[in-house]
Amino acid sequence: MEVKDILQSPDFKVLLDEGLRQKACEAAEAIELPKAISKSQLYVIPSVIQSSGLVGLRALAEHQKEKKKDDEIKAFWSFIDDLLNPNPNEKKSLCRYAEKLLRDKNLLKDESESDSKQEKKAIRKDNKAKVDELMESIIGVYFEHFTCQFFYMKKGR
Amino acid sequence: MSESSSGARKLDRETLSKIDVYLEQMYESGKTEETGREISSTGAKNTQIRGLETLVVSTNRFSEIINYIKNQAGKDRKGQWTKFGPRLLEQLDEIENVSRKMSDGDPAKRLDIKLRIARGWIRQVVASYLYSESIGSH
Repeated sequence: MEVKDILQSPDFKVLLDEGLRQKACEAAEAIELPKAISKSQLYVIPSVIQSSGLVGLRALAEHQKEKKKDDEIKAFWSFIDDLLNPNPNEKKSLCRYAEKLLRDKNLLKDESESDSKQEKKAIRKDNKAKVDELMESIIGVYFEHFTCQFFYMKKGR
Repeated sequence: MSESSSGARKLDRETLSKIDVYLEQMYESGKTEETGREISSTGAKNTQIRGLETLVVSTNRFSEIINYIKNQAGKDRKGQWTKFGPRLLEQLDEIENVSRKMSDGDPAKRLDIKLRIARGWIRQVVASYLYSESIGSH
């Protein structure tokens, strides 16, 4: 089984509709509503995903968390950055979630099974490529859920 | 469940019948009627409600309906979607739970069921909204 087989399965549609929504809503609810985060900060997310995908969004989050002066905005983008990367301290990480989905389908290799450093490196690279491939297919819908939940939480404010 | 030439899955008769019964029960409970009345009472315009109806009828993903409502409530400054949005979301949540029970553990079937129920649901809500508007019940 390949990642593309997962993307075509009925289970994947359910994942987009239910599991991913739950995951995204949990992440949005975990943020303390920052006053400084305007809707325009969020509107930029889908357009970046559409134009340059996962790589573009990672670059944006990285840039915003480094360059912004406001602490709340920095914290917000740092959180988004954590969602997109395999941060072991961030339980809500989308990257970790994608990794778990692939592991459950036995699509990731275990690097501890190899003794050679070179082979371990190759396995890591291969696993990362698979996780990124899956993430590329789900970030659009994930952030649709995330931003809508975020807007909803800010309703009337 | 079979597959039509267009690729859309067809629900079996028994499931379709269960959906009809559920929609009848929903109508009789007065929930959708009350929702339509509440929407009308906020002064929400016909175009807004028709917009929601169009989305429900045309989407292939149930969560798009949920996200549309959340989005509208998030940008609402007139106290309309913020007022009736939670009620709509609650009813969609109920539809999702019922669909889970009706689908016998088949995930693809579940998606079809909830979309079909949602379409029946919005028709009831819109009908009640339009009726309330016409008699000016609010």
